[in-house]
Amino acid sequence: MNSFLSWLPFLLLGAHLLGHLALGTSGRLDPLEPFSLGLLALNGLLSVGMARRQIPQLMGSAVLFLNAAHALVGHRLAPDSLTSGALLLVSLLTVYVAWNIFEQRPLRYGIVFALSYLALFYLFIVRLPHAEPLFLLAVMGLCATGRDFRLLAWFWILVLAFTLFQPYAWESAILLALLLRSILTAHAHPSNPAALLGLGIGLAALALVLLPVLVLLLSQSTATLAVELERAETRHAILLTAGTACLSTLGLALLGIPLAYGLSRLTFRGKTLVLALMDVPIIIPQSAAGIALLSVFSRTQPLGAWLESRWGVALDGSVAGIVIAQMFTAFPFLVKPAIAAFDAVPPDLELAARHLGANAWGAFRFLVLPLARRGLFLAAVLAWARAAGEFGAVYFMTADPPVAPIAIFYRFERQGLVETTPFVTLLLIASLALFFLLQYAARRIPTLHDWRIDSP
Amino acid sequence: MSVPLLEVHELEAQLGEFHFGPISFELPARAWLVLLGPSGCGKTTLLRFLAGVYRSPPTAIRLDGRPIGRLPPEQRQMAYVAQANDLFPHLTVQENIAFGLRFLPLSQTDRLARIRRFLDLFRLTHRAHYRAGLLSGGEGRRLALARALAIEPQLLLLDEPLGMLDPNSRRELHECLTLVHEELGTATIHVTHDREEAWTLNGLCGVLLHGRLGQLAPVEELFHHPANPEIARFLGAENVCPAREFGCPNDTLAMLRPEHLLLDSPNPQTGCLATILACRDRGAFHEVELSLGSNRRWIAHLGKPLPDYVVSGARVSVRWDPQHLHLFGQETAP
Repeated sequence: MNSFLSWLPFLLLGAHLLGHLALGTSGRLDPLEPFSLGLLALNGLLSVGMARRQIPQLMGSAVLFLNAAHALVGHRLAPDSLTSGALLLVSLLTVYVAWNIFEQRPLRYGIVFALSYLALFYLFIVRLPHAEPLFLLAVMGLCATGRDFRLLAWFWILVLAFTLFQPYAWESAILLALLLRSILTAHAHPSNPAALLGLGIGLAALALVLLPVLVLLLSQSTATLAVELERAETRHAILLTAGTACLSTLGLALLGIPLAYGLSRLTFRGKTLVLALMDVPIIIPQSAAGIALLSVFSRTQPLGAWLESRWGVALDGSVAGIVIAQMFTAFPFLVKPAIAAFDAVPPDLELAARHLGANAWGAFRFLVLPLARRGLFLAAVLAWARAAGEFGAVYFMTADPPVAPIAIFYRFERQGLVETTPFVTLLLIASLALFFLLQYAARRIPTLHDWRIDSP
Repeated sequence: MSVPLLEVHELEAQLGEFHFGPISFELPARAWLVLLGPSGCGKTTLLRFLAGVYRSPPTAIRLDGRPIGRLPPEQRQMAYVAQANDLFPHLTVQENIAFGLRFLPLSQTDRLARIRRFLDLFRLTHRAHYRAGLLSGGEGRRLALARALAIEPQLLLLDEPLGMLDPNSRRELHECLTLVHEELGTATIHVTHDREEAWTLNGLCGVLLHGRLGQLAPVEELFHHPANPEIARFLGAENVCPAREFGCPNDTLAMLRPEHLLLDSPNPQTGCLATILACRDRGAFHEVELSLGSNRRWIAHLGKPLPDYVVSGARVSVRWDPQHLHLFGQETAP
């Protein structure tokens, strides 16, 4: 084996020389062309270096082979000598990096590197026409990242997003990056592969859910959005939605927070039933909720008629109707998280406050409320979002003036998909921005947990 | 005779499977009462009744002659320090102390003065602006005590105040408690399962067993003259057996504390003979386990250094001064 290795460079050199002469005499290669001659001379120097043990055998042989193959085949096929040179240099770089990886890293790195190279070849040379320069670029990227699986994963995300997922390149790049970042930073003690697998699958599903939203968000130019914002109809719908959602959240907070406190602190018969009934607005279809509300609050029904004659408030077809319908559907979204927020405040702390002389009101005001405020704020944000997004129940109570979800429906019916998307994009941007801003603000409110482990 | 500060009269309750009481006792002003009892004997239940977590018939509990059994916790003028401290983690140390003062009719200057005084009393001044969640175990306990005493209650209720602390913080807190009690004189009920605490605090002492108050007496008397064998056993009495074995003619049980057994080199004329089963070094003294035949084991505590005839397996003669013998009431031997 060793003797074969020591003869290998001269075998390769001989083959190169013979090939050069054969192709030169048959006229398929100019025997005095400087590039080909240069490679031949370089191979001669390499062989001498290897014979004197100054260059590693395996590495040297690989370079020798690459040079020879390029001089005899690659160079002839390349469109110009610049491309030919680039091709040779990238090939040399790849061999050098591969040799390093096989030498210095565990075998799996080498295998992944080789497979990645083949996959890139398939993607850029076989699948995509005229993508040779891109292939060279990608191979250089592979050489730069191949020594580290994390870097390699980032590299592959970019490659996949801009080849296989080309129509949604940016969207998929963003989503895949989010997914990968979560997976790469996920850890537990001791490590938990089952949970990691679950996280991976779940996040992939989440990415699919987010894809339409992202596509919509990135589909419109700012100019279109500006024009859309100028339309009176759009502005009116957005302001109406924001205003009514604020009103219904306020109403829900006034009713739901005391209720949640009671449910969190007291035990009574039928508590489980009350907690289950709280979910009714989630369970029933939104249109059914709308009809149900209408059958009580409509002007033709006893309660609605009484409200109109006694107080002058007509609910169906009015802004008050919108608020009622929003409150109905958002109710569990406020109360359930609020109960959890109160549950997180230990009753023992409240009892300690009572022993220190606070009556039940004082303990609530000065202890429970400050400790639960983050959870309560988050509950209100959730309820606001739910109220602002309600379509079905509101549609039956008050279809005109239309809140944003109903306005979208009208626009779609009259003018179709293309005309509606700028409006929807605008709404998406506004609601997402607001939602994340509020969530961020809520995270800034310290909670019981933070005070326990914070440093001064 | 003046009215006692606290009167508990026939306090009784059924709490699920557990029958609590009836319990009756009185506590004079400025007293320090240590209530001892094993886990599950109703110690915390008693404190919770006194503090108003559970309601009781109005006259079952009187504070300063006033029936308070039905009052909510905040109107009882008692301070209760639970085992878990229950500090308010979102407030600083001084805000924790100020919490209870908010509900008292105090001027701003008085309030500040009182906060300063209690920070000082419990040596927390250097931590005044720390969040309560950052304190060490001992500091947290001191803050819980400072916060409770700052409202100047008539009665202080402590649930295992020295529990869950390392030995050094325990001693430090104990010194602190003694000093503060001398200065403020607040009557205190202190509940624990650790009988060492009863000795070190040296006040009144009671034993709670199975939801009932077994005996209430000064520590010295309780340990040397327990009312019945069960109390004696809970208090760590080792040598409880029929009085006849100690040479008494009675049919009752008798008790001899381990430190009152004396060992001599074997001599059939004095006392009875015993075999040494084991000799254990307990730090301050040696614990010697003796066998007197007839399945009877006695424990003796001997000072250091041990005489050379006290070795495991040796025979010794045992004697005692009959005046140290404590005879229980008319209960017959098991």
